[in-house]
Amino acid sequence: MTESLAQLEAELMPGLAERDEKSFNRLVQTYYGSMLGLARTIVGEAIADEVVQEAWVSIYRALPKFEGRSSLKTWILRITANEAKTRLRKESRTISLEQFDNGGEGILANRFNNQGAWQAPPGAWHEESPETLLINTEMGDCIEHTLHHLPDLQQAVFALKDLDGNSFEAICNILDISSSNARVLLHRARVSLFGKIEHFQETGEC
Amino acid sequence: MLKCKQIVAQASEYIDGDMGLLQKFRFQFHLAMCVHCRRFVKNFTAGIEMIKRLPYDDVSQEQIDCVHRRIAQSKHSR
Repeated sequence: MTESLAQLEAELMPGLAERDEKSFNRLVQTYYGSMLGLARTIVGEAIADEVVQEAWVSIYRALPKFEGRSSLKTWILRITANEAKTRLRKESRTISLEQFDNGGEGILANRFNNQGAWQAPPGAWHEESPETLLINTEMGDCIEHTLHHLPDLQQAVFALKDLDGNSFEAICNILDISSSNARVLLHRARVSLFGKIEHFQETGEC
Repeated sequence: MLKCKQIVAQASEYIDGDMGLLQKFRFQFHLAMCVHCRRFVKNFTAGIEMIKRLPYDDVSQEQIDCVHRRIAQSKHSR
């Protein structure tokens, strides 16, 4: 967690313990986006907003009991993940967060020969800096589409780490997975997304 | 010496700074010798950085109001 967020949490805590509305609104403004990003990876776009709303009700009720064993953000995201998993159970849908993630070793697996050297090496990209890559909005849309089609657990870890900047320790706490699992899932997600960017660079198509 | 396939498998550890000294040395030694893996790590890093900068949706006043309505409803229904 960044220093400014830690500072903000410290400032808000006294008000939150007394359920001060202004402090609570600030909390909602600060973490709603992160919660929505996480909920989407677990329950999908259609009901993610509803899950976040329900999570806020749970958070509001539990706030006076928050003991500060983790950061407020980690605690909030853990409640969101639990709310999302409960919602999936209610709808009798697959709880992929609790299943073994079978995402495969990655889109690049067949690019090597038997000796483990490149047989189809990566090409030079037309645009190489993150800024110039981002100018292409079609690529941005393509990345979002790909991200939403990754296995759920990969999406969740990727969203928490690379989009929301959480530490591995916090991610393990939020999703109830081991640190080594989190690292493997993150790498798989990154390789899949890299493969899509590379494909887009070569063909101009998603 | 590490194989190219191992470079791809360890790329996230390298980028995240999760490697021990010896592992990092072996990784960088391979990069020094292999143009394809240098390009891969460069492109992989640029791709991740790009995705990290994708814009986040801002929370709307309507969403905040909705949270308050939900909380008010939950108080009445208890």
